[in-house]
Amino acid sequence: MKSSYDVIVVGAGPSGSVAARRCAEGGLSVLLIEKRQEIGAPVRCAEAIGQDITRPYIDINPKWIDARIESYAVHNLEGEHVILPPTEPTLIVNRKVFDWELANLAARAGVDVVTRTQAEGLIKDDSGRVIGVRLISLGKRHEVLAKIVIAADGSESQVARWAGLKTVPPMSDYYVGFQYLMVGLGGKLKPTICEYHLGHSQAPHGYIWVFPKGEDCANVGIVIGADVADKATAQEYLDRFCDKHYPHASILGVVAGGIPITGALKHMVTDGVMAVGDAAHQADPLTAGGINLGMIGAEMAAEVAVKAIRTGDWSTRVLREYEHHWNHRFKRQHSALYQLRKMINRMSDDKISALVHTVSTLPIAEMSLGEVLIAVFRHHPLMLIQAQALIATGLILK
Amino acid sequence: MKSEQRPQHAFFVDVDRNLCYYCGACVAVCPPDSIFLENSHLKVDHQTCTRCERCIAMCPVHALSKAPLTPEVSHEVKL
Ligand SMILES: Cc1cc2nc3c(=O)[nH]c(=O)nc-3n(C[C@H](O)[C@H](O)[C@H](O)COP(=O)(O)OP(=O)(O)OC[C@H]3O[C@@H](n4cnc5c(N)ncnc54)[C@H](O)[C@@H]3O)c2cc1C
Ligand code: SF4
Ligand code: SF4
Repeated sequence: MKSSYDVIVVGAGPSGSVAARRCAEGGLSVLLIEKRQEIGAPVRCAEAIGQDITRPYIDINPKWIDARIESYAVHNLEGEHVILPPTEPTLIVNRKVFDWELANLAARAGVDVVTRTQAEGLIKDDSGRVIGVRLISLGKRHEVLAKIVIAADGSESQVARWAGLKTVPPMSDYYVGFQYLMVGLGGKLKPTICEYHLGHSQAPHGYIWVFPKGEDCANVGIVIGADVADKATAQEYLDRFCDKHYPHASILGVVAGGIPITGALKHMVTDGVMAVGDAAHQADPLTAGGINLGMIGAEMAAEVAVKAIRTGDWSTRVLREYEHHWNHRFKRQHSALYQLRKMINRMSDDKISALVHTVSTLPIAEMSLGEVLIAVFRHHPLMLIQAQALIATGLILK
Repeated sequence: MKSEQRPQHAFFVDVDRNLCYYCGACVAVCPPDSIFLENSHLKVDHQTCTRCERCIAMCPVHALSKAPLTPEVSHEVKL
């Protein structure tokens, strides 16, 4: 570890490793620090990623693939379900290996990667601009300078907060998650289908998933809205589901975590700091999937950082180009997903069940999204009113 | 103010280390940044904690609770 770098990236999750690697490939000197002793562990994820959208960042390799998904099944409380084709092939990965490989690629691109090294604070100059990181590495304190600090420290990001970014989400825009890695699902598992289970009585303001990880093994997890998490915990809701559906399964691992679902922060950049991935709330505001989006955000931030440092002007005004790129690509789509989540939150369980039932009777494989929605609105005309905010985003009926 | 004179609602946020997964979910929702992971231990800064109870309400496993003030922490807690 040197005393000064062009860029310090805090956090070696997928976003941090991609940001660090792209900066190094752009010719910058880069330090990537990770507070855990081992990259990728413990896993805090259901491990579903899109194959095509991942390919630019890492060669698709069977050594980190646990399952290949061909379709999604959305279930209502009555057990009826709709089968939806994925928009692209989905993979269930082993994130321990996946995250490790991404960090390995960064190291091979010339990034200095150090684990068991935690950012403890930021160094600022007299004007308040961030010019480095105070860190503790293997028990020793260091001050390391940088032109730009990239906060890739996940949903618990303190770096973004120390830099003054407004990262605390409203409780209504925060998912609390809990998951079991289960084996012995009693032949109920379809190894190529990801299941989603809807219904506020089993997962208030959230959903339950069953993502296969092999023949008889799956990530079975839940997210619930933090605003409605005070009646029972996420674990209690998941236990009820598992007792009902998989009473004889064994639990090989447990995961807990939180995910902001606000849609990306209004400001992801401030003097000397750029936030990426969960630290910038880049996860999907409906499903909370954040691996792919974080890698894309990281790449966008790195491109701007490389250009800024090369031209000698890394002022906030210049770094803001990253926010413009993100908003241009995702803002409209993410506001639609955000509105869709709010709409589902307002629906009763009976309504959700009726909708799943209606769609389950349609030949959706032969229909466009617009045709499906028109058919749904014909059966449930009141939904047109509930869907106003969603339709106003201009995305779904085009 | 002595601890026995403190108002009834006085409490501090207590972490049950046997239940906590150190997942960090509570860290993100704390408005004054009073709860954080340090070397995979969860710490609460009782001085800055405003006792808003956000973290207690959302912990996925009930690892946080309102504990009555003890003499050891009462001098730290802001009322
Ligand atoms: C239960 C659950 C299930 C999920 N399922 C999915 C899914 O199926 N698909 C999907 O796409 N997304 C899923 N997500 C979301 C996904 O896990 C995140 O969006 C993704 O991990 C974000 O990547 P990141 O690199 O931004 O952050 P992280 O992967 O969280 O990485 C941040 C890293 O920063 C490190 N760090 C933090 N603070 C410091 C510090 N001060 N100093 C040094 N290092 C630090 C952390 O140790 C961590 O390694 C799930 C989340 C949860 C909680
Ligand atoms: S949310 Fe609960 S389990 Fe997670 S770190 Fe906080 S106290 Fe521990
Ligand atoms: S009670 Fe509120 S202020 Fe105190 S640690 Fe919890 S979230 Fe933070």
